[in-house]
Amino acid sequence: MKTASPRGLAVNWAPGGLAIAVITLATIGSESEAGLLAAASASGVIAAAASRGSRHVENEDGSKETLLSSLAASALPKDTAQPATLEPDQLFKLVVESTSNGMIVVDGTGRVVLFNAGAEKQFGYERAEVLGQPVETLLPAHLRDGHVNLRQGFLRRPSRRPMGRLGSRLQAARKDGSLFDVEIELTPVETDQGPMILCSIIDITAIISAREALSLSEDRLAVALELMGVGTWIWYPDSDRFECDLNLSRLLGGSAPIETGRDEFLARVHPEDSAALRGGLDQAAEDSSDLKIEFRILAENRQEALWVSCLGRFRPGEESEKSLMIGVCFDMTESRKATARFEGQETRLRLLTDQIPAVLWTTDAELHWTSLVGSGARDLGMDRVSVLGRSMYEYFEGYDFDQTPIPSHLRALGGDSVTFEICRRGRVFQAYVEPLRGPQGEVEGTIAVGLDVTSRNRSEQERKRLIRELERRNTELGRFTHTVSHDLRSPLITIKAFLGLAEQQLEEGNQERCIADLRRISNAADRMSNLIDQLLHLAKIGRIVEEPEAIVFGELAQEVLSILEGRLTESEVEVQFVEGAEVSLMGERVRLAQVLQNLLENSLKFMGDEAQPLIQIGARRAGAETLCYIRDNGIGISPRYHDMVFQLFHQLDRRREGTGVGLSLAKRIIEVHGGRIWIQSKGENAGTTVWISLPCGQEEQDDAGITTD
Amino acid sequence: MLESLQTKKRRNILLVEDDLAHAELLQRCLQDCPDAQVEHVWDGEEALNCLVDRPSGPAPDLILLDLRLPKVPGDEVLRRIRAEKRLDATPVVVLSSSQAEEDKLLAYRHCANSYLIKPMEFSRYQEMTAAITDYWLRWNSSPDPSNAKRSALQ
Repeated sequence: MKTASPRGLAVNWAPGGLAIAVITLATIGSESEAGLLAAASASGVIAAAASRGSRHVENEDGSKETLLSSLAASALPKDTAQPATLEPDQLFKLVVESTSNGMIVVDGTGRVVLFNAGAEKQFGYERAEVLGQPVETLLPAHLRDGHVNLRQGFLRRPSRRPMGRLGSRLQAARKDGSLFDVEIELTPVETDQGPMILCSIIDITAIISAREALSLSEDRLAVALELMGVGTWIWYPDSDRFECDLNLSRLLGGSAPIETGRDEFLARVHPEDSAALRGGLDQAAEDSSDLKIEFRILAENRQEALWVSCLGRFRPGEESEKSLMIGVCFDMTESRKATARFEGQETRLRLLTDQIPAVLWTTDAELHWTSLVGSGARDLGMDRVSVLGRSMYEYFEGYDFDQTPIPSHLRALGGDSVTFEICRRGRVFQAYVEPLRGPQGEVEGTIAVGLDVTSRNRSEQERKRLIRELERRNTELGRFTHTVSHDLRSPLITIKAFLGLAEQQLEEGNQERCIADLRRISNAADRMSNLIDQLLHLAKIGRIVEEPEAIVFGELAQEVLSILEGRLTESEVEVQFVEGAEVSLMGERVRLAQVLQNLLENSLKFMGDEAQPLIQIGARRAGAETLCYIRDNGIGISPRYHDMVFQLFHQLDRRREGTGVGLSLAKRIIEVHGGRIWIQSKGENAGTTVWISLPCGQEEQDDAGITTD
Repeated sequence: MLESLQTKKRRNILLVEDDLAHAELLQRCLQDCPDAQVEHVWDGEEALNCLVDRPSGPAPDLILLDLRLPKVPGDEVLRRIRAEKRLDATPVVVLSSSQAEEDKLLAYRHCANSYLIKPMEFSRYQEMTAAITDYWLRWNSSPDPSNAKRSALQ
């Protein structure tokens, strides 16, 4: 026997041990074949049940009857079936009086002959007030006249008939004149007194208002979904059907609800997203979980794909119910675009802050870094991770406090705007730090920006260096012209004066003296010519004209020695090559050869009366420099003249040959090469060593100092 | 005055000059002054040796000093002379081939008594040396040793 969940079943136990079940069924669907079993024979009916899902009552003999409306049934437990102890009349009365439905029987003239307790309750009349009255009394006043004809028509063609179908509202009038919604079923009954009509009346006021509430609720949901642009869908995994509501269908460019297979629906989804959607649906169905996914889908009326956010909940089927998944979709294309725009802006902003050739930071009042951006941070060797949250005191521990940015930041905390400079890793930053103020204007920390001014600083330094160099050159030039004018004048004086003297000697006939004077003149002219040559030479060495090349010291020395070979042999000087013949020098070959030659000539010139004259030559590497030396055991130079000998035209002894340009020239050449030249000698007769140092090449400079001003 | 000069012993002149030709020119010119006894040194060091560091005999009556000198420059020699009490009365005449104002100022700043530019003509050389000896050797004959300094200030 099939029974369904007995919704709305009220069970009363009669004193006689008889169970009477009155099943009041919601008779929403008046379109159904509602029937009323006014009286039920106690015998033969074992049980009755009804539910919305199952509307069959099965009799004992197997015949089936479809019932809706209400069913009154007496139920006798099958296993304890006993003969009925009640008379049919009694049972009839009991059933009729027990049902909450109104039951009215009208005779052929329209007079009420039966008015049960349910009807009394519905209409507010005592049955005595109604019995014998025309049935029209119970109708709204405006329907009463027309009803007489309808009633007579029914009697002419009697058949069971429901009234008050959905859409045509049927109302009855209470005693107090108020109206209420009813559903009525008319059943023709043949009696001894002729044909009568049994009216079964159900008060559906509550149903109507519930229906209205439901309708309102549906409307509300529909409006909300429509206004929000949210479409709904249902997917039935078993049949693989995919149903879209009108909203969703419209979103996809359709004009009617789309009902399709899932694969067909997925075919409209962007190829990159369809697999994910399919997987998401399957996963949700398998786990009975919720679906949350975003995908692109082609809409018929749009060029570009829509971005759709999709949420769904799986409902597994229970017993006869099918499992299904209900979900919503809404268009988030604009939101996606906005997000993309925002992300684009954010990305640009991040790139900007990461790459801006500056460094920006903030600190709290205790000088903990709270932010750090800009590519300058990297140049300063600071990275966000290791700096943020750290205090400056900790970071700059071990540095000279006054050389750190801390004093500047402390002044900023005091309300000042402070400018300072950061020098680190060979870069120079011009920095400004100011108080960082909160909403009320109170100082909460500091905010600072540092700009990389290394190149500016370098060019500034270069400018200053050039100015210094220019000033130096200018001074040098002044001294040079002064010296030159003086020293060129000296032989001129000699020439001119001795010419006068020679003239006198001629006049006096003193030819011998005259010849001596002329020799003086000639010597002075030679000296002058020498001076001019040397000066021209010196003037050429303002800059390196040729590209510097790598020169092997030993080879260079050998070249020069071969030039001086004759003089060396003549003066019986031994030349020793002590060390570093393989050492490489960077410079201009011709010039450096000239320096070596000058120095060797000097050694020869100032050898004195040394019995075993010796010149030693050597070179060695010393850090970033190459050192070369020429050592002799000649007359030596007193330490106080070690600098003086490099001055232009300076000769310690004018009686010796020379112009006093040689060492100036050597010094000039070495300085142009970025090197130094100096003399080492303990003094007279202690020999002389001339040292030359030349830079090996480029060297990196790196200082880790941080300076502030 | 002539008498007084004649009664005097020979005058010692110290010539500090590194240019051999110039030294010879001066010596030739000074031959015209019979009383003059010329001692020639080649550089500043030698000059200081015989004037300040290892003096032998009395201070010279006149010093003729070139400015550009090897080893110790003329202005330094001059400074050392002027710091030496013994040489307070000795006039120092700077003879230079430089016409530069700064050299002149340098010499006077170190209390040179006179700064003269070596002339080109031999005859003018002669006139110049004559004038120097006439003036400075006569002045130096005065018993008042401060005269030399005073004239320097003038």
